[in-house]
Amino acid sequence: MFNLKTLSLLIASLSLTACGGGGSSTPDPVITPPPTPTPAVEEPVVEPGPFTFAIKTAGEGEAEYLVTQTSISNEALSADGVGIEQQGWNFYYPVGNTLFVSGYENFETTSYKVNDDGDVEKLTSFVFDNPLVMFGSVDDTTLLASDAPSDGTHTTRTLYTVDADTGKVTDKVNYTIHDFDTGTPGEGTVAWPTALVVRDDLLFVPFQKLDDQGWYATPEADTAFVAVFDYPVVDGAQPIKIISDDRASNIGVNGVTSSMIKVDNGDLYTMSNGAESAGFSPASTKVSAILRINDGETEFDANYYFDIEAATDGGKLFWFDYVGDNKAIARIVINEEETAPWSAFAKDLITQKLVIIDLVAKTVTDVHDVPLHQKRYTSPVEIVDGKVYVSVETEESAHVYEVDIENATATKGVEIMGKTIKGFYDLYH
Amino acid sequence: MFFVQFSPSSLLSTFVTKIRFRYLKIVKPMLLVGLILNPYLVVSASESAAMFKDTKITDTESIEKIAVLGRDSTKKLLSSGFKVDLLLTEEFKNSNYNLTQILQRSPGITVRQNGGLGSEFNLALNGLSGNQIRYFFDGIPMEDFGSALNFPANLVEKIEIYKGVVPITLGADALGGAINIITPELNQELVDLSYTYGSFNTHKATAFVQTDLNNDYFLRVSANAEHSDNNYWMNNVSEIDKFGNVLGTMRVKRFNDQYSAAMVNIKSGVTNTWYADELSLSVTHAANRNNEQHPTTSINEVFGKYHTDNQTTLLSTLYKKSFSDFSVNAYLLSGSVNETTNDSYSRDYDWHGQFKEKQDKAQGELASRSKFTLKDNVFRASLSGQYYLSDNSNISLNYSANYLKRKGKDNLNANNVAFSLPNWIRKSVIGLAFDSKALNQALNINIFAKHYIFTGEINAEESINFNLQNIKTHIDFNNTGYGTALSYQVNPQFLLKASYENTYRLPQAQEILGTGQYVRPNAHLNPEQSHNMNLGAKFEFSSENTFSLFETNVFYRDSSDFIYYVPDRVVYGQYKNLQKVETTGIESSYYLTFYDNYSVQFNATYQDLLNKSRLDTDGDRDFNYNNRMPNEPYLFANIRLSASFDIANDQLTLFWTTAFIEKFFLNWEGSGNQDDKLYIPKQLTHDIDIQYMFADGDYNLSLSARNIFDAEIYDNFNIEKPGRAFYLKFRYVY
Repeated sequence: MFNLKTLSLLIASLSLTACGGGGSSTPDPVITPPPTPTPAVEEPVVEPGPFTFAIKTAGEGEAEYLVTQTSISNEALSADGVGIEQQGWNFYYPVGNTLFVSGYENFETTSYKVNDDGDVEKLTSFVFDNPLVMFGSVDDTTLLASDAPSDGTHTTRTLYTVDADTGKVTDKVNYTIHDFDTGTPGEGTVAWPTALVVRDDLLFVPFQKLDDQGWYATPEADTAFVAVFDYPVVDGAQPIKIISDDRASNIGVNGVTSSMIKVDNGDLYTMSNGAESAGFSPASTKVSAILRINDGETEFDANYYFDIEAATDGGKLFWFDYVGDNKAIARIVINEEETAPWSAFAKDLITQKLVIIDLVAKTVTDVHDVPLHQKRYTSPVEIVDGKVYVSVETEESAHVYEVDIENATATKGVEIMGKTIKGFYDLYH
Repeated sequence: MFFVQFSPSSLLSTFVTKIRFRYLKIVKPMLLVGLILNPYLVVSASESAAMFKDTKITDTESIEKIAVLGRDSTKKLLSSGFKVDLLLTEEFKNSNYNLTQILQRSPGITVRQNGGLGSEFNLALNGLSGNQIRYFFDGIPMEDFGSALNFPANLVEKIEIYKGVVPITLGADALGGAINIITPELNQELVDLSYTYGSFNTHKATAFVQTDLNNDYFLRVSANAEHSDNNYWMNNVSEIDKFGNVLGTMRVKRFNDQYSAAMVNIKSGVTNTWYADELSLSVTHAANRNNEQHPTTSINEVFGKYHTDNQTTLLSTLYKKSFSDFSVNAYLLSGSVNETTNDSYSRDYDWHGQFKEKQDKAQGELASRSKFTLKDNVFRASLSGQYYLSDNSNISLNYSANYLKRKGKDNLNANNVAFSLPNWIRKSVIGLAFDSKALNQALNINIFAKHYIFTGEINAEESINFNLQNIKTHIDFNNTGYGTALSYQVNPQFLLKASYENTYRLPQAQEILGTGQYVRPNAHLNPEQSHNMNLGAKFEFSSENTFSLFETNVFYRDSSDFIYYVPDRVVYGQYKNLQKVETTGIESSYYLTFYDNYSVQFNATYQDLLNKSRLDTDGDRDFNYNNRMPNEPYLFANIRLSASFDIANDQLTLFWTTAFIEKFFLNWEGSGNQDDKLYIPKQLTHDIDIQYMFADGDYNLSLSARNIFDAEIYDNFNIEKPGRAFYLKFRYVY
């Protein structure tokens, strides 16, 4: 998810400069032009840090820690004596300067924000009935969150609308993405949403069709589906249409919340993996690919198709996220020989490489100096000063890498004293 | 220190003779009197000296001696090298106590409960817990018997707690120890009736009637029924609006936590005939219904209808006979356990008990609507023999087999196919032990070995690389454990004990074979293993008006291959051997009585459980290596004071009990800012019991106040336990 933060900061600095002595009690009607060169041509100035990151020190179901520190480049990152404890396994999702942490353990989503003292502090929390598994950000002001019961029964989904400023749920509706029930378990299908993206007054929900017996089978893996809703979504909503495209498999990968991304001009890009190693059963016969829905359209662009396997010598997209300028950062699973169901998620298969994808030019560039690694879950990335920070986990150790998007290079940073960092966040700017 | 530690020495009889036998049938609930002056024993002892035949004691001239020597088996047990604590329930029978409450006041034991009467609990013994501890009822293993089987203290005479090292006679794979619940001797005429009423609309009734029909034949009927609404206050519940936004905390009463249970046991047979010391047949039927207020780990989800039902039926037969130089002991048991979990209401409850119908009728309260029944058939058999090589040594052999067949069915959710095809496992344990006394009987040596055999078969619709297949899997493996128990009576006041066992806990069917749905089988799964060591000392002192006893035990557990479920492939996972934990601890208890009427009991336990795993659940470096295991109590203590007063021919006894558990962290201690860490707060509770015994001890009336200062107490993170409660109990004993 490309964060609008850099843009809004730019606007903020412009207006601040424009206002000049805005602190005076009587506003000066005369606007004095600033003596400095126009800031618009400069790179937006964002002081790196303080950084907030979510670190997991121990095994899968164990606690996670939300740590904030001024720098992440000096010493190893750890939760040793620092960080706000988060129970169990959690999704992390930043919206503006608010970070939402949503867990399976306690049926609760907690929001964090920088307080008046400049510390990251709990804002509030809300509880839910079924674990929230898919998230979206609307204009950096609103969180959308959806549940998706996973046992294949024909249940409706619940969509939460949350104000990022207050952390409060402002609306909660039932909606149906896709539901096909023959009465015989195993013959019908249900929807597993793989992204929530709002563009203007429409909500786009790409989804996988899963069997209704609870086996996580994907009987219609060979088609990409996106349900389109009127936004805001009303209670009991049905999609205004479901669009499909048989050039690519079901969109998305389990656990990835950015399987559809919206670029600056409003175009939407989707990623399809389709492999057994990413949980498809049966595997799709279609290659891993990127599709596009153009701005203002509610159909796939028949003229756009990006064959990732052709561009990467057989690699498959496992995760991608928008980093501005029509580019995406992505992880590609290579070396498919060893695959077993869901094996791309397993810690012991080191098969992922980090790349920068130019979505318009349809190029894939390996990020130099980043080793093959394994990453199960990555929360949305934030761009800080033109850089993206990622956790790279190999068999030997885990390190932070600072990725220069423009040049597709990376600098190996400090060691992570733990299993993984699920995301780096800038909650201060 | 509720358990009574006996010395085998003459000091005990010295102590006994000091007791005035003014009220033969009155049980002085304090001191050791509970055991010695057990009314059942005293009444029957004089009538039936035969029951003590196996003790090879002929001198029965005084009632004191009978009383003491009649418990020769107990004496022998406590002076053996095994680290065994004996809890005599007599002291508790007049007040409202259940067995877990009695157990948790003992050193080295914590019982963590998720609520009030009937709620799920986890008992830990010297740091090992759950199914690492095995339970026995009169020597018969109770694993897989389900929740309906519960034994009120009034049906139980004593509880043996074996810490870490378990004799072969209890044939089971007990990794961390065993708890054996023992009922009164069969050839005593006795009637014990009780009724309790108390807070949260709690009712308990128990009846125990045992009679000699004619000389050899006996009949015992024991029954109990209990109910509680468990509608106690919860002080830290999130107050939410219609969207789920947390507005603050509020105080509410639990409203769907009712628990009702009943059990009947009828046992009949012969005792003390030429062909059998005991030959009996026993039938048990038990049932319960347990409403669940919330899931086990969270109070954010609230249930209003969710509940479980359990029906358990057991049939068993037992044979015992001692001959001049050998004895045999055998039992057969078969039973069925049906447990149904009901989540059939499409309702969304809040903590005020209000509900909305869910729009979606496919949803239950927790997940998809479900009515899932697990049906277990169990069959157990055991045969053991003991051969006396000489007066000072014997050799014994034990074979125990345990068979379980499991089948599951969901009447509402067709997608739930767990155990839709039957699975079975068979565990056998063969034990061989040599027991000897030396140095003029001051040194006691027991050496034993146990061989575990584990076979099983699972039938499952299994998803193999996404293809549904009917899979039949077999397992078959063997392990041998061994151990020793030594004791040395240095002098009549001072006993030293040491014991060691290399022991195993065999995997459960689901752990090794998977469920056929999301849990993949792991053919390479090993049993959990532990090296358990105890080193203890016991001192006794007495003066004209006092008797005191001090016991301390240092324990060490080197446990590895703990079996954990690892969801390594998102929706799929498997059980793996992961954690290695080293436990070092010390438990001490002190017991003092003076002027026969007053007593002080104190015990404290400190245990340090360290993570010794180099690799974590994913096979990565474990950053918590050598750190204290999270979510485990490590310091706890109990104090109990009693005073009794004679009022004419009646007796008034007052008890004050204080329990303490130090605060402990939910997650790894060193991780995270200390102020932001989740923890289980310190527990400090005080109980009062007032007992009044009248009509020569036939009648008892007691008033109990639990948690008198209404402390907010938690055993598990955020799951509050009951506050202050009062109980009135009436008991009739004849």
